[in-house]
Amino acid sequence: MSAPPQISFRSVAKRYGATLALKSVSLDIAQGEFLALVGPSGCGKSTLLRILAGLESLDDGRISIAGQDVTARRAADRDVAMVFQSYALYPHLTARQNMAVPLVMRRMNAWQRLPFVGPMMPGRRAVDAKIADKVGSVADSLKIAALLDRKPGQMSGGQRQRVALGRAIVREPKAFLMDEPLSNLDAALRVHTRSEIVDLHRRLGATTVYVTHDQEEALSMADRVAVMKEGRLLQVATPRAIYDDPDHIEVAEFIGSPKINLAAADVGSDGVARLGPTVIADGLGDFHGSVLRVGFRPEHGRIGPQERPGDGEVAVSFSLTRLEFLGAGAIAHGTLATGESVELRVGHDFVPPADSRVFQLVLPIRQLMLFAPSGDRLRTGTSLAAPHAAEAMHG
Amino acid sequence: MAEAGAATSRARTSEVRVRQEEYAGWRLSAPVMLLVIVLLIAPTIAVFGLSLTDAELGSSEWHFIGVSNYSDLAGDRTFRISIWNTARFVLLVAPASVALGLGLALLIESSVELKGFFRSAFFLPVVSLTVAMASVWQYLMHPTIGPINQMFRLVGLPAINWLSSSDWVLTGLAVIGIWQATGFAMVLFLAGLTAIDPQLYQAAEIDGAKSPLDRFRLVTWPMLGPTTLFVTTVTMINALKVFETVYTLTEGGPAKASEVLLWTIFKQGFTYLQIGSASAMAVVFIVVLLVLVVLQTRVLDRRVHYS
Repeated sequence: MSAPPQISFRSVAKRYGATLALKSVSLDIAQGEFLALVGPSGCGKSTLLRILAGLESLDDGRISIAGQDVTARRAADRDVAMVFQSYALYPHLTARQNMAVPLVMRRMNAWQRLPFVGPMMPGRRAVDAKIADKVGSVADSLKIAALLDRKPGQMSGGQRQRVALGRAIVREPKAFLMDEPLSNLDAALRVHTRSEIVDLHRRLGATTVYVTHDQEEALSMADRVAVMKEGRLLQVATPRAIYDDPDHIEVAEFIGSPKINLAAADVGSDGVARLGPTVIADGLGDFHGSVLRVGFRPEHGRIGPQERPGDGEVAVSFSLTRLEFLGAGAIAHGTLATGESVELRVGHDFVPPADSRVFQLVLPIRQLMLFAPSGDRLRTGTSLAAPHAAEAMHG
Repeated sequence: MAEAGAATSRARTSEVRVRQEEYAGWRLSAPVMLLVIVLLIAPTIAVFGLSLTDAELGSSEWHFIGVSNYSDLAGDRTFRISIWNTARFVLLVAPASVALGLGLALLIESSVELKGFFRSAFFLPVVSLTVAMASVWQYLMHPTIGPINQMFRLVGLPAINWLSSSDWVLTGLAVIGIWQATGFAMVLFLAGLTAIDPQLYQAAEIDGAKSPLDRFRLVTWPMLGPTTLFVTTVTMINALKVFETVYTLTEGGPAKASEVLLWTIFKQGFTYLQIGSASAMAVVFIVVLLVLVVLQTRVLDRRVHYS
């Protein structure tokens, strides 16, 4: 990101009474980037978006859009478009009129907008024609040309959502802000619209900030994902890095479905962390006496009665309590020997033998993530990724 | 066979259930329907029946005379004046109080402080007794000692005989009528304003509607449509029913300049004791009300509800 950022938050803070809704958030978003703000409800993601839009004031910090400081600018002057969760279409206007509003407000002067006499003002006809052209071509690209003369009350949720998108697109704004635009749609339509929005973004190349509470939406749509919790940015990274290499236990827990499995790992006086009796990391002398958490994704373990750990792998005992068949695969619910309940993705062919519910769970050490008691990820001081970890286990 | 039999018996039980539900529905609504009939429908029918007779208050003898009460009304000069005056009064009071009510509601809604105070202050005329307030207005509008005329004189305007000149009496009554109706309209508009989705204002701001006038035209006015329709209807009906101020302040005078419908009906029925012809007037009054309500709801309703 050598180019200057299109959107930049600098130490943005927001208070509601005594509670801090945003605690010094700093974030740069590149020109053309699709950034998803994701987090549980109440984490401040919507507040951050509304502050960026100018719909809410901030108590501290600066915001700039396209290199200009807009902190003191009102929303109408920030040249951003927003898609609201409830769509916020004007119910008395047709789809065509709804989509034209941003252009009418910006391209016509006050005289041309007057009722009754406005259409007679000089230049009005030319502006009208241009607006009609633009609305028409956007409607074509969103495949809503047939709906243009309907009012929102006569449209389905998905159709309204498209009109709201159209209203945002016609203006070619500096940034698109989307506040959970899919959460009022049913599940099937949501997945479909998801890919449509991604296509749209690719076509328009406009900087997009997308707020969602759905981690799957964030992972599947965004170039980068910003995970928020309690008014703080926990991590900003590509979807792959967020999933594979989380910085914090909260990120690891929020992203991924089924959730990441976590187990306690004691650190002995030798600075070695063990999952049950099995050594999984060493060189952790600083954490002697404390309990670390070790995490692994549901798809990273193998179970079976005959499984044996190979090089760079550890094995723990796992007792199966329930197998949840999902068609292409299944989720095995069970508990570790150390007591934690875990969920594992297993293949379609996995059929547990009738006589035994206890298996060996084999985990590649490379895929284990270690978290300090504070929740921070531990990358240094461990030999998790090193090949000799397997030998340490035997030693 | 057995299956078919089961199906028929199932159909029969569901039929019985529907009938039972119907019966329960009638039983539950019976008390209200009884009250509606006794208190609303029966009196209306009685008035209509009386309007076809020559009944007089106090006389035990009366006859069916067909529609001659109505044909008499058509030639009755007082009744024509009364209708004309009432129409003028409604046209003075309704638009002014709706516009003022909306203006006040917008002002109060936009201010943060003293919201509650202003709301109560402007609602006061609605809850105060008209007859008691009429005497206050009589003083305010007094030709010589009244504060209104004293203020007029201060700025060099001629004094006006608000309640005792035939040119001004209807305007004077209309001022009182507006004073009363504005608070009511305002409270209804305030309720309508709070029901507008704030996201629409945010969308309007993002769409570039910068001036308050733009936002009013894009969001407030269209969203208030149903409220405005209701307020206009109710205000017009209330204005049609003007009576107390006429009774206490002008008695229809001077020279029938403030002769309004209810006052004419009242005099006909309770001064001249002509119940039959008073009932005919009352029927005309009810018909006017009904036409107004039907017109406004049927014609305008389609334009203010957007789904």
